[in-house]
Amino acid sequence: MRFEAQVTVEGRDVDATLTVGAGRTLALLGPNGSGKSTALEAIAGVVRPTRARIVLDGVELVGAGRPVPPRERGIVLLAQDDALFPMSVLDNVAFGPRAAGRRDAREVAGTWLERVGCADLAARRPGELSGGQARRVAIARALAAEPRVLLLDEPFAGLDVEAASSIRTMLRALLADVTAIVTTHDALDAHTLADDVAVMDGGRVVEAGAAAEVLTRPRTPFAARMAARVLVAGTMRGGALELPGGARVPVSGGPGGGAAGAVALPPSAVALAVGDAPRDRALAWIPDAVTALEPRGDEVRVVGATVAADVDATVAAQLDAGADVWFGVPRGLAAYALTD
Amino acid sequence: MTGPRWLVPLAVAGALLVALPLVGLLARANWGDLWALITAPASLEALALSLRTSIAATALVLVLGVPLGFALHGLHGRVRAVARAVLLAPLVLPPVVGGLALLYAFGRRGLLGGPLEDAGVSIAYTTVAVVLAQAFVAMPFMVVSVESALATHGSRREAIAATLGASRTRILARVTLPALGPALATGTVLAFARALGEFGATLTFAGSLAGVTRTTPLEIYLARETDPDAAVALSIVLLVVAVTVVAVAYRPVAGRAVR
Repeated sequence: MRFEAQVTVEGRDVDATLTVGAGRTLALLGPNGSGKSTALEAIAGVVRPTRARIVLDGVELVGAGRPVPPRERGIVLLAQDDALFPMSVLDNVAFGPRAAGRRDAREVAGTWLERVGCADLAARRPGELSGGQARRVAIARALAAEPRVLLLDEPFAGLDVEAASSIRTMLRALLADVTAIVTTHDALDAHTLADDVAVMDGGRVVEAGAAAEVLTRPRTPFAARMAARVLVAGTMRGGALELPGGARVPVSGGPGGGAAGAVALPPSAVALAVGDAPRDRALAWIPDAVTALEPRGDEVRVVGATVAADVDATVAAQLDAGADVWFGVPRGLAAYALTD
Repeated sequence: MTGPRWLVPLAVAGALLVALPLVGLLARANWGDLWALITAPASLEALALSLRTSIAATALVLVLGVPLGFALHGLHGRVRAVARAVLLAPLVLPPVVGGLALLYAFGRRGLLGGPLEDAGVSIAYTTVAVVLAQAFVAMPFMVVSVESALATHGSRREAIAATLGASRTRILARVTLPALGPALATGTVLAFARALGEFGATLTFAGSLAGVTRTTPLEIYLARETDPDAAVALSIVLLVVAVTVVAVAYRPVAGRAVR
């Protein structure tokens, strides 16, 4: 009982293989332009893939033979732009049940509108909805079609913080027993919604596994960044990680001596010291040079060649690219093996 | 945007060229007897025939032109360019040429008319011929409306509707056609107006038989020497329809977005 999709869309340089267990939710995590949306649209049949193999519960929907047409796949796409139809909200939600020939389509639609908190909007037209309302209606419409697999493309994109947060809570409950793939560029969404995570970069899945594993023990700097963490990677020697530059970070656990290992931690947990300033002896310090300064709200991410730290903007204001700095990492973090 | 000043006299000349004849028509009208002239038996007969045939032709254009617009949208490259050129030719073809062409297709010795004639069905010089002539010249308006609306509409919503389990027919009826509403309305109104004003093709292919094929434009042409007042009165009726149609069909499109 599981869903497997391998899609190639040559025009957009996407070649991805995704697997989701029955009733589980997979987060497809990647930056904008990494091909997440294209992968979903190709699976749903909205975009024609160059090659594809889609298997649901052991039945090949798309593969060697004639593909099962999108309308018979039971794979519903919740598009980023909602794509509501020019009809009332109730008719939009009743669209799937009606297509399935259900006589109680209106009742089914009403029930779903209640579940997403939009029962009072039934008579409205799509143009009369706020962004958050339209998204809720689109979610109700998708679920009312009783999808065997639900594909959600950036379900919180374009919403204000409040609407996004309440829809996130709602989706978490609604997706509990649904086999679903959710694309997002936000590690928090992956944490809250997903059982499994696949990290996507340049149209390829670069890392995949259980959400807890991928998000807390990323294997590549890219996956770490998508998980909102920094990866401190090196070679295990005598209870410490030896970094390429020679710095040593004492860790707990991890693979045997000589093996490649790493610790991952949020950039906010990394300390920063400049020049000869006194450094906290409880931390392990790594000499580095600033390669980039990325403003993030009231903080600035100071990125070095090996590590990055989120620091107060006033601290970062004294830095330029190329400046010599020390990054401070707590001693004794749990290390894990990096196997390539 | 306003252009340079020397555009103004040219614009005025252009306006005069269009408006002066209309004013001339209105000035020539016998306003006192206008109602009596319009409701005279010959006039009423022509108007009633025009209305019946134009409505029938518009219905024909809707039933055939919409699928044709879809088909044209589905073609690609050179095939589409050629198909479009052929299908839209009646837009610019002299109507008398269209009438002649219709005669050689549906006339007694025409491609299809010959066999039909053998089967005892005669089309030329009947009311059916009037409807065919009107549909022939009006069809491009609907085809062009539908095709260009489809081009800007895209197919995303349709694809999403398919993932929700809808059949192609359901998608067409519930998603595509409602979205094409404004384009269909424009196409319908323009096709009706074109059908109502049809003259050359009708005269050539259907003749001018009172009560059978003599539509209002033909009646105006015949009456202009024997009864100029009646010709002008009928002309004013068609003028009012034309102005109304243009006002309806070329409304500003703002606020018609689907979402």
